[in-house]
Amino acid sequence: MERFLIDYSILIPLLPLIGALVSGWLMTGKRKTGAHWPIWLGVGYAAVHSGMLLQGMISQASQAHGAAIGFVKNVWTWIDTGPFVVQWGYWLDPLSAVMLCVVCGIGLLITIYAAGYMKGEKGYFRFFAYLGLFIFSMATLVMGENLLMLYLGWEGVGLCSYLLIGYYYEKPAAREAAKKAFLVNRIGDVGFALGIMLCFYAFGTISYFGNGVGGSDGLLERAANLGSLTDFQRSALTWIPILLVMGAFGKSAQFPLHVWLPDAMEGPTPVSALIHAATMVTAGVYMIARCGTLFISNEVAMLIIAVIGAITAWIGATVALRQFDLKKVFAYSTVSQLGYMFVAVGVLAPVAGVFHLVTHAFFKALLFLSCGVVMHAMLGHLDMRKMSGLKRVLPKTRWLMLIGCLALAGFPLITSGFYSKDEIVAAAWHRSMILGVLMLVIAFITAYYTFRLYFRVFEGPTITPSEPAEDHAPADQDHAHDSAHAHATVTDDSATHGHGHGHDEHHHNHEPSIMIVPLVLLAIGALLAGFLNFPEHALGHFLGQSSSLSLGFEQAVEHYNPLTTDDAHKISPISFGQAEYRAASVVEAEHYGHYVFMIVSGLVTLAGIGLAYMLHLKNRARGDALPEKFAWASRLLEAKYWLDEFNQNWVVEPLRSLGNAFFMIDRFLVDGVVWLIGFVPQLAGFTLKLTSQRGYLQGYALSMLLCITVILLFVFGIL
Amino acid sequence: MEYLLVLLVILPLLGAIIGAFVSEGAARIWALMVALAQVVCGIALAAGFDYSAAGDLLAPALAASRVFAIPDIGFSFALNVNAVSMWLTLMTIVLSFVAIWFSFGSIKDRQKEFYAWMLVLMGAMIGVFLARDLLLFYIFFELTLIPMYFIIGIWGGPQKRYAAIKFFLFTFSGSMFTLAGVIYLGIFAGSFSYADVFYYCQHVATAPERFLLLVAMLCGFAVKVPLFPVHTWLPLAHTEAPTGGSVILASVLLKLGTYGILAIALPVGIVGLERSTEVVGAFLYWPITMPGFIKFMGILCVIGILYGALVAWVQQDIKKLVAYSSVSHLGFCVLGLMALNASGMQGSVLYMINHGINTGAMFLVIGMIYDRYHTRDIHELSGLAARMPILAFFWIYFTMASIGLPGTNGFVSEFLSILGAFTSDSLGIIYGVFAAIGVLLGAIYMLHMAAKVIWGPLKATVKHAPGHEDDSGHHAVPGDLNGREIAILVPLALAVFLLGWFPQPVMQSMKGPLDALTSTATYANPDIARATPAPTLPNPVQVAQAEQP
Repeated sequence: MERFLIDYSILIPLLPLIGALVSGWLMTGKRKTGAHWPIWLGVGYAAVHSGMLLQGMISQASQAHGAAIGFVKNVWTWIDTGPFVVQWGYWLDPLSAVMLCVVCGIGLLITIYAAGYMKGEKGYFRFFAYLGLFIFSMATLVMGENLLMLYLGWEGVGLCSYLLIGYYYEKPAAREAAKKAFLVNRIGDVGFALGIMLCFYAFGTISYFGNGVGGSDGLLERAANLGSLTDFQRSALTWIPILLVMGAFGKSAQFPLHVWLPDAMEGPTPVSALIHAATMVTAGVYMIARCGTLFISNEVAMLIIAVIGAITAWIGATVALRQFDLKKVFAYSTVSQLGYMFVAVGVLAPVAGVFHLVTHAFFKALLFLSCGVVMHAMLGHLDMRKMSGLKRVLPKTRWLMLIGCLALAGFPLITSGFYSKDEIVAAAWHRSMILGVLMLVIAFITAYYTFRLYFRVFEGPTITPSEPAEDHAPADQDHAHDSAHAHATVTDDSATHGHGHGHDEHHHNHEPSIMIVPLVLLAIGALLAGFLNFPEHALGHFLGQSSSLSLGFEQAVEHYNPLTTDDAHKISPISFGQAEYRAASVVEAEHYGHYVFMIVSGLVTLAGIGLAYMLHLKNRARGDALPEKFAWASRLLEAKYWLDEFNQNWVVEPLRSLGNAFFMIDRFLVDGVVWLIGFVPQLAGFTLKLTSQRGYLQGYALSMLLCITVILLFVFGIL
Repeated sequence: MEYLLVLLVILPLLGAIIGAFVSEGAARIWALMVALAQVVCGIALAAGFDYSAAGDLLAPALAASRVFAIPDIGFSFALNVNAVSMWLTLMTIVLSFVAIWFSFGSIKDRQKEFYAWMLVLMGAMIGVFLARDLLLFYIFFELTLIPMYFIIGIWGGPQKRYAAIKFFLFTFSGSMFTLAGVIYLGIFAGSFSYADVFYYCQHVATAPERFLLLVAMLCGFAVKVPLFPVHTWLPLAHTEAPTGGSVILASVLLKLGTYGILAIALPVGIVGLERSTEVVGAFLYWPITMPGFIKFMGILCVIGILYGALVAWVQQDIKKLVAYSSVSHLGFCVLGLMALNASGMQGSVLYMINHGINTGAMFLVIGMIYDRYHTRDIHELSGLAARMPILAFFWIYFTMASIGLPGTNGFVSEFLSILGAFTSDSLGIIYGVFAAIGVLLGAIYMLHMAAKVIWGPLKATVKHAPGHEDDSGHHAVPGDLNGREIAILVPLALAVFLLGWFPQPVMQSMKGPLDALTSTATYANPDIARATPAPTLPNPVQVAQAEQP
């Protein structure tokens, strides 16, 4: 690989950052219509650089014949207190190259789309500045060569998420959602920061693989070396995964910290696609895959991750059943899919987790951006009860949405979601039958709620909302189609042609190509990304040449010892992207099992789609009657398991009461005691005044002297 | 170099005196010119500085400057500088300059006095950082009280008198104990020079004696910092002071306390004893050892962090909110000091500088809002981003620095302070864990304030402060920041970025001085700087001990 790709890797985060500064500071006022250009250029460069990096990495990997590869580039010493050394440096290996391509590639598509979507907004420049800042942070997160660089990106994406959710800052809901997102993430981040500190305390470094400055080996290598751990390191390793994973639970919206993600849909739709579906929320999965050797030997932590992932997948999928807002449905589905990824890393299948991360990035971005097109065309409405049969109004979007829905549901053979989800289900099954069955049930629910949405919105008789939504385009009135389509109404099949000429001067293309072309590319990805890892496991073997995974596998083999114990089936080399070494019969049995799984999960998906067809297209009345039949379940889901209320009443309010109580204490008790102490010299001064002193200055001087004498005497006397 | 140091201290004091002869209208320009001259001196100091020096830059003989000395009592006007002093001095200069410049817009009456007091304050604060004589330190330390007393008392808010008196009495009564300690040390160490005093403490004095001296020193410094139970003067003083005063108060005056703990309390009372299990005192018959006392200080810091943050969260007055946030932040700072390891102490000194920049900037931004709307009530302000986007940018920027977002200066120092406590022998993991909870609470109250004031629907009615009726002739809607205000905030914003991305040069230069400070070998030679031979008084401690059994 060309060395300059490594040496100048700092440009990947830096150019989007510079683009952000230019957009945010210089492209204001009249120049704001061009505010997307600095970001396009910066992110475009980053995407090209990442692509070249990936290509170089692939050729490097094939030359290495399965051995781990990785490159470090230290740019400057960020912090060095003596024992604690942190480089501002980048670590590039297959894992980070894949992540970078997802982040910058999908990021580029979404910034192009956003130029169409956000056109005419008052805060156009601001939006693009935030996007540039986001790409900077996310690239830093996946490229950082140590945990603190990861943390820098980690909190940086949190800031961008805060700013972008609160983009429509005049809406109180957006403001509250932004605050909630930041603070819920901060809860996790506190644990994450403590985890970093414990890593340093126990292992003396926080660089993943050694930064070439201090010790030759890094944190992950030291932790992987199970034989030579000290007792303190051993006990630290029981806590480090739990602390680190707290951060992952926050960032990747896992139960109970998932509550911020559905609210985050207050942000503009491209943001929901980029940050809250494709990239940022997957940071937790990346972190666990990257730091695998800190986690793998800790069975309790891995169990916690898998179980929390399963709970999250369940909560997300079930709550999505009773949501009516298109974006909310997909938000809960994101929560649910992230749960799948956590199950994957929890059951020691990091390749499956990252594979699902990649495919999910494609199809979920596609779904959200399609939602954006719908929202644009439907005057800001997203309520699926107010629209139907949009396939005639938005013919292109309909196909794009269908592809996305098929991929999310995991439609057999032709969608990427099928292959990646299937790997997770299979891995979960191998670990525990209950987990595997649960994953299948959730896959069924997923297929059902996805196609409930699709059939309701795009099929059936055509209904479109006639009034613009209340909060549509609140910032600015020159949002082109506010007035233009205020008269849109219930139309029949010929609607798109029918209402043509009368108001052609107002006619606004619902599907501008600047928004559709990125969607087509994403749709191609959503269909084909599955073949990255099927049938040849190409992605897996490539990822397996990252030290994180190969070391993780060695550690797993050492810890679980699959050749001798009954746990043998738990560790599959394929799950870590490693070459097979087990007996051919074992492997064959596994493959056979895998094909059975594919058939089963394909059938489950088809069943879910079929049920949705019955209830939401063929006979909608039956579907509408369903919630009344299961009133209690429906209430539970509509209330989202009452988690928000619980948090408000049992976490926020008590803390705030504590603050108020402390303030009372501060005003009356602490101040009162101090006042009482202050009363003593006053008393002394009063008696002094009575006895000898009448003058003011002398009085103070004398009492001062007296005090000092008393203090000095006290000092001497006590000794 | 030695003349530069003298100039740094004397120039503002002289400027204040000369300012008395300048006309009322020109007073502010004069003060700004003096501050600008100080900036030039500061640049000269930084340019001629030896960043690799392990300790004080000047030889002790040069430091015991010939400006003024009273050999009979062992006092001399000794100034010297090491990296820690230099960075803090630079911070003082920049923030004083900024505070003076900011006051152009907000101080309308008795300008001459105001700017004179600001200059006196500036000189005294720099004096504290540069002094190498305990008595000189104490004089400067106390000298800061007088200008601040008048600044709060004359140009303050509605409760200004009460606030000024409370501020004065609190800090003064604390430093009475410090004065006792200073006099004690001056007598027994033979002179007030740091070298003699620290030599005496570390190589002559007994452990219980050192402990009592430590307590005496901490009485003064803890109030100034302020540590948890003695912090109640701070919210009131901050809130009532005019913006320029609040900036100085939060940014620099509080650092006099932390600097005192670092540069005086530590070598006097702790260095050399931090691992000793000797019982140094008793409290209600509970034996006190030095490690136990350090833990006690750590607990006070952690309580201050959590308590200050929670109280800040429920404030209605945004200035008071930031004031309570200082209680929380300074808890981190002292916690880092008490960690007594490299990470903690470097983080702590960096914290002093960063807190000065961030909180100073927050007070400035709040002052800019107050100058326009004459209210600081969190319920009366909302959605200012719509009307003042530039202000909103700076607000969010400094908010992020204040809550320690990585990439800003706040992160480096906060992380290192907590890491120091976490990995410390003297404190421990549990202190780090509780301090980290303070990081979460810090985000809660700062974002609560940002959500109320900056985001949300626009709501801000222009009120008119009493005494400013002449302004109310026209009800123009206040605009965004003007050029002067932006120029004030930009250097601070740059510092936030630079210290967030490239803190290493600053930290590297501090390593030597901090190592020297925490080593008993530094002051091993009694004759290092002695101007006069030590008086041969009988050591009362030994006498008292001899009598005791």
